[in-house]
Amino acid sequence: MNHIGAIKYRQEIAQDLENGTLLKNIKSFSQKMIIMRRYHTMIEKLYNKYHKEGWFLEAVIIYCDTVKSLAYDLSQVELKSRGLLAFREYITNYADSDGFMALLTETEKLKADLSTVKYCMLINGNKVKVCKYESEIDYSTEVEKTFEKFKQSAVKDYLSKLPIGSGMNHVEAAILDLVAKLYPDIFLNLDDYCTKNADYLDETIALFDREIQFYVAYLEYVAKIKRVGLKFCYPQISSEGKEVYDYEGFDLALAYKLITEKSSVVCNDFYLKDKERIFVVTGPNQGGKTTFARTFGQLHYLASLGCPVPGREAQLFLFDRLFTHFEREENIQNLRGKLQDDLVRIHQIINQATLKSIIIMNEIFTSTTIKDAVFLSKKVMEKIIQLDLLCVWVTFIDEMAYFSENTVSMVGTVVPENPALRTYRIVRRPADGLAYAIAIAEKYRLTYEHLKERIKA
Amino acid sequence: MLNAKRSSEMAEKRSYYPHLASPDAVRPGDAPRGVCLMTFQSILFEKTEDGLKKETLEAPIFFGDLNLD
Repeated sequence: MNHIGAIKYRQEIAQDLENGTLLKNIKSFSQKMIIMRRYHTMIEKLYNKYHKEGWFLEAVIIYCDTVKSLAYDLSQVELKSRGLLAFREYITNYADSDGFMALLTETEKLKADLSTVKYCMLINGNKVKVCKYESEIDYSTEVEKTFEKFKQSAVKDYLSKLPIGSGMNHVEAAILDLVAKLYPDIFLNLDDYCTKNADYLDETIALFDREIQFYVAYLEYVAKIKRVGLKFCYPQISSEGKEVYDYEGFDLALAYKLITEKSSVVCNDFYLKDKERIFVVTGPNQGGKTTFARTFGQLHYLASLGCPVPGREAQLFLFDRLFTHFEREENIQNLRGKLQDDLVRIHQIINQATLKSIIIMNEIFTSTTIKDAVFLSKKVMEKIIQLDLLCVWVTFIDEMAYFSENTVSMVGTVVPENPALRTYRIVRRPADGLAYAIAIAEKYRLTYEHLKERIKA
Repeated sequence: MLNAKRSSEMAEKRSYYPHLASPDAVRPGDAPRGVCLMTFQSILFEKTEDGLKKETLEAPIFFGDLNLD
C-alpha cells in the first residue's frame, strides 16, 4: 500500500485482533461460513429438488446463526480500530434489520414446519407405500418391553451402523417426492422460500468473511513464532524521513522453518541515521549476510501491508517499489553471460528506481575479477547514492563499506575463540576481512602450519 | 464499459459465494428498523478505490528472493 493512512487502518485492525477472545470468535465465524459454502458446493452436485432445497435451508440456518453470533460477539469486546468499529455497526444494524429478521423468522418457521413431517413406509416385496404417520403403535417398544425380563446382562450389540451421509439414492429420492405430496403446503412453502431467498447472502458479510482471512492467516502464522519468545511490533511508518531501525528483527520465513525444526533463531538489530542510506554487509560465507538482507526487505514489505513485523521496536520507510538483485543461474535463452546479465539487471533497476525505492543486492559481480568487480561496484554505488534511496548491499568487497557518509558497514561475526563457527549476528562495525581469514585458510588447509606440513610430506 | 467490468467482478465473487446478493437487489439489510449507517466498505482497504486496484495485482517479483513465496 502506498499511503500511511491505509497502513494504519490495517494496523489498528490487526491490533484489535490480538485480543484472543475476538480472534477465537472471528475464527468460529469463518468456520461456520466455510460450512455454509460447503453446503452450497454440495447442493450443486445433488439432483433431487427437495433434497437441494433442504440443504439450502440448512445453509441459511447456519448463515443466520453465524450473523447473529458475530453481531453478539462483537458487541462484547472493546474495539478501537475504525474498520472493525464500522463493521460492528454494520452487522449490528444488519442483524437488527427488518429484512434479516424476516429471513430468520421465515427460516425458523420453515424448519419447524418440516420437523412436523412424519411418515410411515410400508415395504412389501419391491413395493414401497408412503403414508402419513397417524399415531400408529410403535411395536419395537412393545417387543423390547416384552423381552426385557429375559435380559440377563449386557450383550453384544449386533445392530449394524448405517452410515449417515448427505447423499440420497433414487429410492430415497422417490420416497421424498411422495412425502412432499403428503404435505403439499409445507413443500410449496419450501419452494417459495428457496426462490425468494436465492440471493440471501449479504455482500458486505461475504466480503468481511473473505477479507478477515488475511488477518487471521497472518496472526496465526505469527502466533507460532511468538510462542518461542520472538517479538513482533507495529512499526512506525515514515514516507519522508529515511531514518529506519528495527531491534531484535529476524527473517520471518527462516524463523518459521527453524522453529518447526526446533532450532534457535538469531535476532539482529539495525539502524540508519542522518545521511546514512546504504547497509554494506560483509563477512564470512554462510554467516547470515543474505538473511540480513532478506530481513530488511521482508520488514519493509510486511510493514507496507499493515502487518506486525519481526522485532521489538521498528521504524520503517514507506517505499514506492522494492527491487532485488540476487544471483541467478545463467539463462541460455538470453545468450548473455553472467556479468552481462548482472549489468543488464542492475541497469534496469537503477533506471526504474526513485528516491522512494528500496534496493536489496546480494553478491553482485562475483563472476568477474576483483579489480573489475570493484570498478563496477563503485559505479553502481555512485548511482545509488545519487538516487538517495535505501539499499542493502551484500558484498565480498570490503572497501564498499567505506564508500561515503551514506554507507554503513555491517559485518557477519564469528566466535572469537573459534572463527570457523558463525554467530549469525550481523553487527554495525568496520569491515575487517581479516577477522575470518584464518577460518577460511583453515577450511582450505592453507594456514602456515598446513602448508609446512604439506611441503614436508 | 463500467457495467461490463462490474458484471465480471460480480461473476468472480459469485464463483466463491453463489448466493451472493446482487448489488442492485433488495437485500435483507436494506430495510433496517432503526438508524442504519451502512458506511462500512472493507477491513482491508480504507478507500474502495485502493481495494479495486490491489485485487488485480500479482505476486511481486521479489517474493522469491526475499523468501516470501
